[in-house]
Amino acid sequence: MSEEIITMLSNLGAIDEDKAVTVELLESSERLKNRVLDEEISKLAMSGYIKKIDGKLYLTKSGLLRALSRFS
Amino acid sequence: MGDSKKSRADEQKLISEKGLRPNDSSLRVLMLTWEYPPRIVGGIAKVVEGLSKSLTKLGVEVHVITNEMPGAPLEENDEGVHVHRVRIDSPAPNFHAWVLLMNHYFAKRAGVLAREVGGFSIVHAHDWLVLPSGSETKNYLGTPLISTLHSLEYKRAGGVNSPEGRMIESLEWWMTYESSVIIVCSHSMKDDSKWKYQVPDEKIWVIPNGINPDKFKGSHSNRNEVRSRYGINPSDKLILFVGRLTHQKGCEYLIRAIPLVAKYHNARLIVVGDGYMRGELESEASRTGEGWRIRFTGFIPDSEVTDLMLSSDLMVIPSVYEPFGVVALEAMTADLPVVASDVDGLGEIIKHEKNGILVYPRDPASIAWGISRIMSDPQNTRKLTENASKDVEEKYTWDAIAKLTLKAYRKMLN
Repeated sequence: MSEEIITMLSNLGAIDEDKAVTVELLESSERLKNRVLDEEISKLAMSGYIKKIDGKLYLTKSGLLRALSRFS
Repeated sequence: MGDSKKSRADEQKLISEKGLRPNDSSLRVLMLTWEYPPRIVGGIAKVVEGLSKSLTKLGVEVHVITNEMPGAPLEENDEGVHVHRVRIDSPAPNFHAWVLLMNHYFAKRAGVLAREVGGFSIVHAHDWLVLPSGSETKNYLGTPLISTLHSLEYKRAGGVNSPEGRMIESLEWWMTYESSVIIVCSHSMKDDSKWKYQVPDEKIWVIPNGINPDKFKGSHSNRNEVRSRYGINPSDKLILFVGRLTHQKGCEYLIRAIPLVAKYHNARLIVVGDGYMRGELESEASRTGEGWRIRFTGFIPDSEVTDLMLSSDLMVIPSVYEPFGVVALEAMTADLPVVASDVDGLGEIIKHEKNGILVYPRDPASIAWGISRIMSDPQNTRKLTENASKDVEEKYTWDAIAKLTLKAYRKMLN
């Protein structure tokens, strides 16, 4: 599921603080609907792939590059 | 208002009749790429950077349209290369919709840029990801399109088994159809492209990727100090892997080779890079029972990769598919012995027992043999690295590659 979260953040363009998105927006997406994301989000934040500020999320550089890695 | 409408209409007519191109013999090239440093996802970023900088040295005016990256300026002159980073403001529900949006923004930027600079002689698109904007720019500006196919989906993904893969394949075919010239980086890529997309032989140019041979000159990293940062002793045999952690790169086979090597050598492995397989690979490392020998760094800055290359004993490239393998050239330039899978373009760069060691792909025992071959015979290894260094100087400098590319541009324009 962590791959789906970072891929979704990349697709949504959440790559800096200005473009951060809410957890609710992620939860409303088709692929992540009805899933509990809090634990995965905490793990991704601890691993340095995402940042959470004021309830909103965005990808770090490492997170962005990891999200795109399967497409190059 | 009426006048500006009229002049816009005149401009459109002129573009459709003659194409918006420079009005002298100078070459102005527009590169389209989804990655350019510091946005380094795979090999394309470094290829476009190296080629563009060397083309600039040959008098070509190069503009690069690419994606934004946090921390990088939207407009930049990078050693003579005009880099235009595009912000994509629209969110997308999935990656493929995002790619189409990206292309819309690229095409829009290309149209505006063409008016600002007086048009382009050539549009050069890098891989399927930018084909829609390359095609649109070609047809809108009347500018010839040349494309580089950096790899092929059916091999990269280990088969095409999804709607997304089918879409990528159709874009690759469209690229070969729409472009006047296709550049590929190896003869195996040429054969694969001809077979897969029926591209006429005369339309494909094999132009290898390159490297700046001075990349490691002047680096003053202290081998022991670098090793200590990663908990590696001076006497340990340090094996380096650099690449995306994806199926294509075959890192799992290298990890499985470590217990075999560890029977005879005090080997340690550093895995540089990240990707969707990282968790799986970390578990695989633990399962070997020798996980303490293996360290994953994730993405690290280029300068840190340089330090590691200069402080390691050998590099292993265990890819199951590799149309070229720029990382092999980097190792060869750093005098780092290379053990590589005998696949595709990698098997064209590395000549067994001449400038490196080739091993069977997907075969941990063969990889372990190759590593031991390097570790057990320092004299032979020295010969391999000397030959590798010569090969780079003779065949793979960006200056030489840029001259070949310029030849392809001129031939297409004539």
